[in-house]
Amino acid sequence: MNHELARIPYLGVGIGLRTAMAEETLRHGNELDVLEIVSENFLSGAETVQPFLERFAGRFPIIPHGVKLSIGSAVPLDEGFLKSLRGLTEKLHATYYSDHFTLSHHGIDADINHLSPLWFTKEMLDHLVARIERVQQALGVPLVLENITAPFEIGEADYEEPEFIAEVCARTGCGLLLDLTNLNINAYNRKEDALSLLRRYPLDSVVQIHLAGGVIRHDYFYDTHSEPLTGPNDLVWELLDWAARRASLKAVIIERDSNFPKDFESDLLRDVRRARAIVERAIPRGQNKRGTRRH
Amino acid sequence: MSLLQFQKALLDLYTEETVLTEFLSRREEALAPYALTVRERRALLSLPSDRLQDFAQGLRAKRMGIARRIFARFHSDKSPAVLFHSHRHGPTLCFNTPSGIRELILTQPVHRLLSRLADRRAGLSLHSLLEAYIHLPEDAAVSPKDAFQAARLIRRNRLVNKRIRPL
Repeated sequence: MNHELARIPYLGVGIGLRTAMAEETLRHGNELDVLEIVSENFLSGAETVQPFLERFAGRFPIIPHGVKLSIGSAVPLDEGFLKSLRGLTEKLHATYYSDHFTLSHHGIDADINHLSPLWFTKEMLDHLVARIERVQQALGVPLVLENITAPFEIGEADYEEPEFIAEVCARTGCGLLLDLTNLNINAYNRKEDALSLLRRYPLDSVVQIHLAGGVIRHDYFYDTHSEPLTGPNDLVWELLDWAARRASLKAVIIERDSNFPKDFESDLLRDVRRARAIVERAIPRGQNKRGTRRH
Repeated sequence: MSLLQFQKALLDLYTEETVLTEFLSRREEALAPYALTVRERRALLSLPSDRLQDFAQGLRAKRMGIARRIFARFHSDKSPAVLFHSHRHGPTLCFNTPSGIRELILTQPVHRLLSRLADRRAGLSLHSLLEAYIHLPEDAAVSPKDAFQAARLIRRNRLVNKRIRPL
């Protein structure tokens, strides 16, 4: 792991902060080390937004995780947007900023509100390297990018995803947010072995892990972020155990965006506890686990 | 720049129903309008139809799901209009009425004008349209005619004073 990423303190295991689970999050806060927010929801100066954030920022370390950076877009970076991201990152005292290896818009006139796979060519590699360097310079903290669920692979490419990401991380020093659910889903849909796929990713660049529960319909695995980590999602625990023993993880976040649990404790918290047990088993004895204050 | 055209073609396949429909039956012809290299063309031609359709459908459902959740929070008179940058046939203004959800396809200039208005958090009116128009950058390619077209659209569809939520 490079020096900049190594300096990021260990934050622990937590969940994505969602309005629908706000009160439960506070009620069970003693079992959550860290929260992750969707950055774009908190860039507005609207009256209700900042007080909501402040309720949590005073109690938990918060990771800003964006969906609109569109690092792979051919259109120029929006410097005004980068400035607002920097403002948010500084407000949260965040030690990194995360988004995705994706193309989600093509300028103001074409925003798909979702994440498209990238075309893994040498041209795209050079393009990403330049943009990531600019973003890291603008934000003042390392950028950490997530692997996405890909509905298809774009042919005529020079790389496959793991090797492409490894090259990007090596050339820019950016980190990898390794979404084990996305990896598991891609492996399932392509009829590949998930652990074999995992081995190909640059583990020395992994900063954070995402876990989430999807659904299988008509033999296709969908990344719905709506389920507990059981059944078809169970394999992610083995993947987490494997990755935690080999990467210097700084955070693990469990995501739930819909189908919110009626029983927070027996559903989401159960998964948080299991993730924490796996990660803490993997940390070498004597190593300081947390570099930030806990509530 | 070719990467721009490649990405435009890819995103049009995701969001423009007419482009996707033609692509599924006549791939070469569908890609003809885009200035692509031979390799880029081959890459797009190799996209799997079923997964592409599924993805495009998923995007539409996601957009409409977000819009419905926004509308559900308000009585139809009070709910904001939702501005999609791209929907089935281009930029679209979606709003709730007593008889159901309506979608209005917009020209790009009208879309730019309404986007500007949304950024300013202004309700829809002739005054706010003109305010948005005069504050547009010079290269925005929006004419006074576009501003009045937008005004006509607002009046005809009884959208006066509605706020716009961009997606």
